Amino acid sequence: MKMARDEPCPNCGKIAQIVTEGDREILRCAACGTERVIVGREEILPIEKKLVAASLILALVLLGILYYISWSMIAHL
Amino acid sequence: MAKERRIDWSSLWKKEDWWAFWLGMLLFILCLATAYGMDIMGWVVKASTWVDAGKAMGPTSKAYAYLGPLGSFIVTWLVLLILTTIGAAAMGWKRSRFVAAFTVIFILTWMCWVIGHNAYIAATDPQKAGVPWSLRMTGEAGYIFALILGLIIGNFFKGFANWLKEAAKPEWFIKTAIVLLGAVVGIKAPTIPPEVLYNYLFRGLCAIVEAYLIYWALVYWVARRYFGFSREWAAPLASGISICGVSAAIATGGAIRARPIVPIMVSSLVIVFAVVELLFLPFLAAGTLHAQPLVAGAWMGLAVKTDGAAVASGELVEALIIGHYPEYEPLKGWIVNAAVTTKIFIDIFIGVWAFILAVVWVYWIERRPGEKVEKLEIWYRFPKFVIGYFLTFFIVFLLTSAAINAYAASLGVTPLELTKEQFKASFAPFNAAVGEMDSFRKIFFALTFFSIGVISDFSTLRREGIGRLALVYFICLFGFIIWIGLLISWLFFHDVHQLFLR
Repeated sequence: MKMARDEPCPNCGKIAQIVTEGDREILRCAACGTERVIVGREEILPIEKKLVAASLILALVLLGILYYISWSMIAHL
Repeated sequence: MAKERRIDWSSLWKKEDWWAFWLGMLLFILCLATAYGMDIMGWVVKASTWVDAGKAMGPTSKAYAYLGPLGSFIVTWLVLLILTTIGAAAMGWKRSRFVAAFTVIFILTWMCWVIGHNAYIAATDPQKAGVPWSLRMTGEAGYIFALILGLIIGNFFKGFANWLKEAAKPEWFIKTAIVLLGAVVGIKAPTIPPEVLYNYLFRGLCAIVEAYLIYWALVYWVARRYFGFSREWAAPLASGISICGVSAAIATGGAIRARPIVPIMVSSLVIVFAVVELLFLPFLAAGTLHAQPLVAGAWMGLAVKTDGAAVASGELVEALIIGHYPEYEPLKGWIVNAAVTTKIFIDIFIGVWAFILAVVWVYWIERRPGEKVEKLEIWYRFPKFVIGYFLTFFIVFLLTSAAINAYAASLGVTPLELTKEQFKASFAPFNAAVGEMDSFRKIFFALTFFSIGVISDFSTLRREGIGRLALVYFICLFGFIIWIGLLISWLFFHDVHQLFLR
């Protein structure tokens, strides 16, 4: 791990350090504790998978309902 | 993450987010006075599609015609310089440097904006503009020129670019423009004829579901899973490609606390790809969907990613289809309307989406195990300029609706019984006011793209992965977004045109 450069922290605005770890760059802010990968792979959290799946399922259900109502409307016009 | 934070009231005058709100609202209120007979902002300079350079620009309102093109340009520059310098001073930037740099940025941006309005580049109907051919890029080509000139300065004249950086503030400019965008969208909502509003309103909901729940989720997943982008990159990229391009990327960047470079890079890709879409998608739609003209119009609203390019695509599709198939003449106006309505619905939801993302990021994505998150953290993350966007939207929406009702009542009829001309006359003063707001909005948009170019150093962009970002954009846009958009437009709009042909 080595220090790459300084950048303003997107969370608190104070100067944060960018460090490189292998092929990843990580932003670390000593002031507010923010730590995040800015370049390179970042682990996909289970909640991300769930939210993406939930979003797609919800979309299909809503579109199904909307489609049904839509055709009912047109049939009446 | 926040640790027992107190409300910092000084952010009201020290933060760019709030200054975008103040500046946008001030311009909004001053322009709104026009609707009540006090045209105090009509001098704002506006570019028009031109063949004769002498007619390339002028004041937005005829009441200020005496200023001429140069006079309106100088007044616009001076007033914006004073207003932005007050903001810059409050935010602690170097005043004298800001004044000089803003002036240079304003002049260079305006040059690009005017060049982009040349009829050979911008005219969507070359014959009407008096030229034999045109690239049909609309005046939004000016944004591309501004971006290109900015990039040239930012990468080949680095000393000059550094000097300009004190006033090259794309986030501030774009957020101010978004506040004004609320009013521009707000006036369109009540002006959609009532008999169509109900039908289109319903289909607008489908557009929201499609853009926010399908596109966003898929692009986010592709960027994260297959291209290995971090969350900071994947979320603004998903918003940029799926929703309303630039505005959505900036709002998302604020909600998830991304570094400023992230939404800025996404925005520059959005504008470039929107022009690419504009150049071929309307022709594809008109060529293959002429039997379903409203499907073609709605498709443009769902697939083309900036407001201007989406509306221009809708206009092109309408001109091409009605030009080749005169039997669709009764649909004149409705094909564009299908594009505009779907786009408006997608736009309106941006603020809500920024709020949802802020909640998701605070409570699920960035929350560490055992950490207690203050509710106030959501407020800190919520992009404040979005409040301005909603305010201007609802104020204009309510005032315009009230004006239409009052006008109809004065004639002793209901709004539904107004003729087309009467309907237009009923909100004409608000149209003039919003026209002035729109002129300011376009100036701020153009300043944004020039500034993006100035601060975009290719070596930094390479390090951050602009190439891969463009690849994701390309794959998602042409791989599934425009095709899902086509499928859903087909499902919800096919045969609807029969209503207008009866």
